[in-house]
Amino acid sequence: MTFVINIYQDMRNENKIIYASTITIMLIGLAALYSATYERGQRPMSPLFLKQVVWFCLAVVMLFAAANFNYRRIYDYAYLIYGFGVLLLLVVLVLGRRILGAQRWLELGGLNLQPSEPMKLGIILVLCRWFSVKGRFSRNYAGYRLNQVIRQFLPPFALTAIPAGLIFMQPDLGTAVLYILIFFVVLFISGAPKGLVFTPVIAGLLASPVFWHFLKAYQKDRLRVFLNPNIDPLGAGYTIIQSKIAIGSGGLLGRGWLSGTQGQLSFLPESHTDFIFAVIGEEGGLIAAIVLLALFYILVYSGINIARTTKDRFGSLLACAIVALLAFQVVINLAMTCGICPVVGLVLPFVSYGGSALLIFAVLVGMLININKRRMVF
Amino acid sequence: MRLKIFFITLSLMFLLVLLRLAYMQLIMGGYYRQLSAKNCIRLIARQARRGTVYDRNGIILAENLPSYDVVIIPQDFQEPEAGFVFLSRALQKDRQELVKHFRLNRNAPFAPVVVAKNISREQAIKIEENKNQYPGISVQVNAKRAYPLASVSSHILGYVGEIDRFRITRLKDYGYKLKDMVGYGGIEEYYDNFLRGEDGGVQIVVDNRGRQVRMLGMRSPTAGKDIRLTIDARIQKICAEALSGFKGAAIFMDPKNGEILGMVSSPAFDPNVFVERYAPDLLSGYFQDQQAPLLNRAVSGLYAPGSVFKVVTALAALEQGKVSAVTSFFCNGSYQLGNRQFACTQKHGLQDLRLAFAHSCNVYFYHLGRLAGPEALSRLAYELGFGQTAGLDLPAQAQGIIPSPIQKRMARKENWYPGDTLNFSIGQGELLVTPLQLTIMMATVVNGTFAARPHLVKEVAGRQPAVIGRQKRLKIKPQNLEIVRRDLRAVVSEPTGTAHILNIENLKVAGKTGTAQVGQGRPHAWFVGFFPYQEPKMVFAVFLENGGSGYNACVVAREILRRMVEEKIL
Repeated sequence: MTFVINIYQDMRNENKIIYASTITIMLIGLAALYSATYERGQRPMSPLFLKQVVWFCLAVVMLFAAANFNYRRIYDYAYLIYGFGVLLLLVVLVLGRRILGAQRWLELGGLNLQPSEPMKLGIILVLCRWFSVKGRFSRNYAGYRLNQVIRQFLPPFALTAIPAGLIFMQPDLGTAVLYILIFFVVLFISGAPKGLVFTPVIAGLLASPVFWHFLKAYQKDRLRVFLNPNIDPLGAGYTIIQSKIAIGSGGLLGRGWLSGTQGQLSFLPESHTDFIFAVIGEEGGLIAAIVLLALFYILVYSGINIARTTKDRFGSLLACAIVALLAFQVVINLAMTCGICPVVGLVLPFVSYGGSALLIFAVLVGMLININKRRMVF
Repeated sequence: MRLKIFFITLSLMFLLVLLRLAYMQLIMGGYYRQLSAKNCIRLIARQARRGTVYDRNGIILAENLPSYDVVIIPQDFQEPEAGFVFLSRALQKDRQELVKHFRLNRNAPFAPVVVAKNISREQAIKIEENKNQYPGISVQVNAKRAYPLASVSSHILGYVGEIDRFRITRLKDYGYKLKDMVGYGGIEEYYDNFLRGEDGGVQIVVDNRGRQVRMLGMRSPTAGKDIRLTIDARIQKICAEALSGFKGAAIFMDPKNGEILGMVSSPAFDPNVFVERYAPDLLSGYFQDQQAPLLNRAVSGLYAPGSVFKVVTALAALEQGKVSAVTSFFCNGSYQLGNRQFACTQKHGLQDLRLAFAHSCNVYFYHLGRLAGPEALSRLAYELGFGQTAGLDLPAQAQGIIPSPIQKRMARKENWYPGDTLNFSIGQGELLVTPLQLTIMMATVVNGTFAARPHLVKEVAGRQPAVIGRQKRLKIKPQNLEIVRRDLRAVVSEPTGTAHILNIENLKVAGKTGTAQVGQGRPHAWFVGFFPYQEPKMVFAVFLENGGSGYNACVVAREILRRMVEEKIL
């Protein structure tokens, strides 16, 4: 009995770091959002900021809530959550509100819900459940490759491709690609044969020119300006140029909170959502950027540790998937704000404005702690 | 194992982002900081006051008047529809026109756009009263160049206008910018550098839509320097009135120091028309007029001097020692050269230099010209200021031509004949001069010691320009100049003299008439003289292009002198 209590306290210490990092990131996000929505001479707090404060409180509650039930119970509801997510995606395609040329939001009693966020949860759960079934890859299909593909690859891929396709039609290229990435990570971690993992990846890369034709005009523009932002400095290339100027002009120490000219004088579009990191880079400089990166890295590191030490296969995979989702989204967002990856509409977790994403990531990190608490149970 | 690969991949991705950030913020930080400043810092120019131009007595010739201009500041202009309706009603102007003007001239949200210039006081008050109702519209007081004497001072002053392409390419290195106001012609152009001053500016911070957020700093403009001219506005006015209706020029000059007291070219133009641009018809009329009102005949027009040049011929012969003051020749109405007759105006009989000047006897000067020879004539003509720009502080001065055997050979590849010498000695043939050059010649003859150096500017910002003091010593014997000066008095004082009409009491005018034959049309009429003849205070020239006999110039000169006496200038 004392043994159990000791372990419990150990875990609590490790979990404390996760809680603290998450909440610190969220607070940094609030500070950046305050600056991004701040207008000299106007009300000190913009309605957007106040809204996000409410979301922040909810997110903290969700963080603790998600950490304090037995995550195994969610195993049973995986398909239900997944199905609900797909349903929402279908609804948004039919009824969704157009924001910035994309149908991504559902209006529910004054709140805008972005179904691609809860779908992340659904997809992760379903994939981890599917791959955690014992003996998935134990059978040897030597000589029956096609059979193997049909049995071991296609079902989970279809589970990913359906929501990814729906999201791609919204259109939201970034999230769709993110889903596919998560799928391959889980496939890889779960111990699938190498051929099964890398053949589709290579095939997909080779076939990428074909996908070009399925892209919307603005998405093609974004990819083109990624290669050379100066071909259209006032159109598609504008955001990325302004973002680079903002981050670069921050220097080592930054220009001070509420003192960045790029953000404060609205040269930077989307400074409260996708490009909020540019505000941090400009006003906080490299120091703030390193602090933020370090906090995210702590989450990644702890997540990997949890995945490594958790006995439960479902829990371990889940931890991995959560880390992958978080890390990919952070890296892609930062890379696109500083111009080393094309602009795809992925927000910075915990920092960018938006309730759906904030709540879902709070739930995901909460579940990470949840898994950690119960890693020795099985 | 796979978990480890995954973890390392993620770590590398984080590292990549970190390196990229460090590169952008540390290594390229300065570059991006610069771009960031360029994004949000703008400069608005504040125009400097242009210097005022006064005449010698302090009368204003060119000044800056307040001009009430209607301006719209785009960033405050919220209701364009209602605003333009109000403006068109208040200004009695077409609304579409105003909208068009606004669109064309708008370049930044914070920069005021002038939609109507120089409106009346009543209109300005009406607009100011309704200012609060139509935010963004206001009345701005700008400086407008004005020339109170209008056409009387036109050729001396020139006018100001927006810089043109030709001038911007030439003057860019001297700090001139597009849309700058610069002088065109006259003092405005010649002394533009002094008059224009230095523009100041305000540095402001703007947001992404170019709206002003706050001010960073400002440099106040430095006003241009005021200039005082040697011109006497009264003389200028009298000359302009006397010349009205003629094509021609009149110049008054102080022979002792070269100050130009009056200089008029007729017909003239109104420089205000160029500044305000309210009358496009009048403006284009100036450019198309056959009478060439924009040409300053006094310094830029080239004409044959006719008999006025006989002064040079006489001096050349005296200098050569070929004749003396009492040398006489007989005039029987023509001069025989080979088998050609060179006619005189009439049979003058026996003439000495005094009578020959008085009657303007051609035969007498044919003799002098042949005795002196063409080379001596050209040399002396050059010494007296012909064939070169006069050094007056005005742009676009003509040089003129002095003929000589070498010049003829070079220009026309023809030999010089004795007949050319005869034509030369009475100021005909190839010889071309400006009215100013004749005035300078007379001034030089009159003051006797140095070549007159004409100038228009007395003071720049209260200080005398250095160039004016420089003087060139003459190589002509003073006694010869004395002879000519004395004998020129006979032209006026002799009852038979060609300019006897100018024999005004107490003035003691002396001088020489000229009737220069031209290829087509009536001859040019000249009178170039000075007074009082013993100690000359003023030298003057009156020139009428195609004005007929020299007598006509004397009539105009008499009118001018009479008015000057009347107004107690003399």
